[in-house]
Amino acid sequence: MNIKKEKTFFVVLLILGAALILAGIIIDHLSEFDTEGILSGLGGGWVIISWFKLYQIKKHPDRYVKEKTEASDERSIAIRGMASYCTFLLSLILFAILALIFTYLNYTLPAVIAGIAFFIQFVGFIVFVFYYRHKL
Amino acid sequence: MKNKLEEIRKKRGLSQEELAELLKVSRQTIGSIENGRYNPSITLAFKIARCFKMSIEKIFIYEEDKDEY
Repeated sequence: MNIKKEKTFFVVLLILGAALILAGIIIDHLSEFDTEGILSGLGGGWVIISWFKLYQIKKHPDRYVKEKTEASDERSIAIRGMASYCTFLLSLILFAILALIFTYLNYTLPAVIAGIAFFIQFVGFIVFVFYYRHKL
Repeated sequence: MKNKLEEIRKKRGLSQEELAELLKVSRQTIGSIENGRYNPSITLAFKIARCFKMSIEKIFIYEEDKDEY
């Protein structure tokens, strides 16, 4: 893991965040267009996260490297993969049940939306299976 | 998969933490491999074997599942 690259990334993010805050303030006050604080909020989030990460890298570099290693080691990736698959199955079942419940209660639009969400996830899964079957 | 990783590691006087640092993995990964809960990838298995200057077969014991056939 390259700590210099990490530092550079968060410095860039910090600058971009500050620029977004400034852009948000300028657009909100000097133009008719109202961003409703979205730009400033996003920029503020980036500034806070990058400041915190840069502080971690400066004060506790060994701990930072250790945390990054733990997050990216193969067992952690395998765990996240298994958890993602289980969550996907759960949400598929949930959307199917919701579509049925809404249909039973005669709520047409929510039933259609739940049905479409179920369909998109299911088709997406089949597509990715075919894709990775050819790739691997 | 059974393995002799813990035995070999202790013989070399390494802690789980030290071995994890050498292999650039987490200590939890080493622990899970040692108690057979997690099987390493072929890449990690090679790295472990290279670290101890041994062949993979001397560290990891592959036993065919009798129920497979």
